[in-house]
Amino acid sequence: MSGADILFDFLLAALLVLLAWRALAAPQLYQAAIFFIAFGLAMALAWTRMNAPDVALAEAAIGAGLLGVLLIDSLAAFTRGRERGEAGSKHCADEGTRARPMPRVSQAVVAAAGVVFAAVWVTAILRMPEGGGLTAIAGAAMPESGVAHPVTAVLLNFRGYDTWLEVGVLLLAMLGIFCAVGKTGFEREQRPAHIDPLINWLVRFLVPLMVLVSGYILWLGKTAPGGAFQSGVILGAAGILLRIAGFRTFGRLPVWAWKTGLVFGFAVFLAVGAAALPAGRSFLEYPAETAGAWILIVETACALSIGFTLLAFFVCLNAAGGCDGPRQPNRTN
Amino acid sequence: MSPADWATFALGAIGAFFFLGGTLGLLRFPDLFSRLHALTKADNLGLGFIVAGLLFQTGSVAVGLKLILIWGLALFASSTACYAIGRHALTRSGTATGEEAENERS
Amino acid sequence: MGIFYIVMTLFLLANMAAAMARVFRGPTAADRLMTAQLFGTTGVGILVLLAEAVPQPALRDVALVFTLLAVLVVLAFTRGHTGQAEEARSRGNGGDA
Repeated sequence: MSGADILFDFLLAALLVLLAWRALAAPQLYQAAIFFIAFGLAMALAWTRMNAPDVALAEAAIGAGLLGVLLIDSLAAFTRGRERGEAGSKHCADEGTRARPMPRVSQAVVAAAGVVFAAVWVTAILRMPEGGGLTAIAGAAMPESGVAHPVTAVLLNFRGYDTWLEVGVLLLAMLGIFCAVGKTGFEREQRPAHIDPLINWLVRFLVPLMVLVSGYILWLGKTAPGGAFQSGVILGAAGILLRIAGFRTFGRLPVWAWKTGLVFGFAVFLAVGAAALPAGRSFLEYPAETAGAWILIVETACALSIGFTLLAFFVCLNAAGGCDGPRQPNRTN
Repeated sequence: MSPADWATFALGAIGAFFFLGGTLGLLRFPDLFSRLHALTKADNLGLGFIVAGLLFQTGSVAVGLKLILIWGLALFASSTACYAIGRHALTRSGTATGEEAENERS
Repeated sequence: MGIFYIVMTLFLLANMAAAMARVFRGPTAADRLMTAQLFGTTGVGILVLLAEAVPQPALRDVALVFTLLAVLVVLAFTRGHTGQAEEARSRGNGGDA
């Protein structure tokens, strides 16, 4: 590692700390959102420097792309609510977009948690097992995994349980949003009378390309960084792009179709996992010869569902149009 | 260094120059529209030169095409983004000089 | 050749860091958003260079995803007319950044 290498890493680390601090301390939520987007971009670079391109890919898709859109659009929803002059939303527009300084008690709690976390982190690094812990065992089992990329083997085969539950968490989050906002967002989708011709053109070119790249990343997961999650995020982003431009998404689909789409990944994962049980294997244990095919099926289903779910997040939050007034205290920071 | 390396070096340096120009423009230009102009043009030109330089180093056609795709996408996306931001600022401020952006500083 | 890539990435990163000043200064919301765009383009430059330098071909895919999703934030912003009103409000309150 040369001096320039180390300089690069130091500059990146300093930039990350500065961006994180500004994202927390910015006087307005809009600025905080911009700093957060920049932080996501810098974080993706940092992951590449730590030789974790899988995480970098996820961070690029989620941290820099998707979360930024959700944040900016949620802020826009406040403003729209204010412009419509809805009862109660005046309050939330004025208060909601200005970041309030954190109370001293919260600051103390955060600081204490930070110290504890740092201590645990340092201890963990000092006690890192020789030879990389489970790496050797995972490496030895690679031929049975059905894929050539170790990260995919761990996520979808060796620790498939975790990934299945993560898909479940996403589904639960979606149900939570349904409880709060209802599916009015899907029904309220209207195509505006006029779509900007240039944006229209962009969408018609970019959305098919995004779907293509989504499939490419999904397929790539077998041999290189990529896979269901990153692929699903890009798919969701394609849907969000359609929605932002004013096209209808869920509103075009029959109710059963989007309901199926939302639970599809979780259900297929469960079915594939359970199919192993009658054959005398344990839950989610694929037969070694056909493991690759099973993983591809599960990943495809999950990618579709993740894309659907993220789009549903956006559509629901977008249609919520600000907050419901004083009922919600502004826990925005 | 081989001729290909020299080509990469030269094109990369030109690319870096344009990136510098973009950043300087963003920092020094007086109003929103000229900043927009500096950013979306200079940076993508810089990226184009860097990509062109890297094309000399890639061993396979597929990698080269992917690099070109990345640059093409960046061009496409940022020109549309430039249009969207410019139009947005124009409809908000109502002047072609971005007067509002200027006034906001005072 | 290796040192060339590192110097280039370092230079681009320094560009990013310098451009941060524009996020601080604003003055309009669109300015801040543009800086985020600059971060994206510069980040793509760094990624394609690193992909060649490390070498780690997967970084080109990261760069591809970067470019694909970069425009979404801008469209979310321009459609929503956020920020501008917000900045105006904050000036009214004297809370400039």
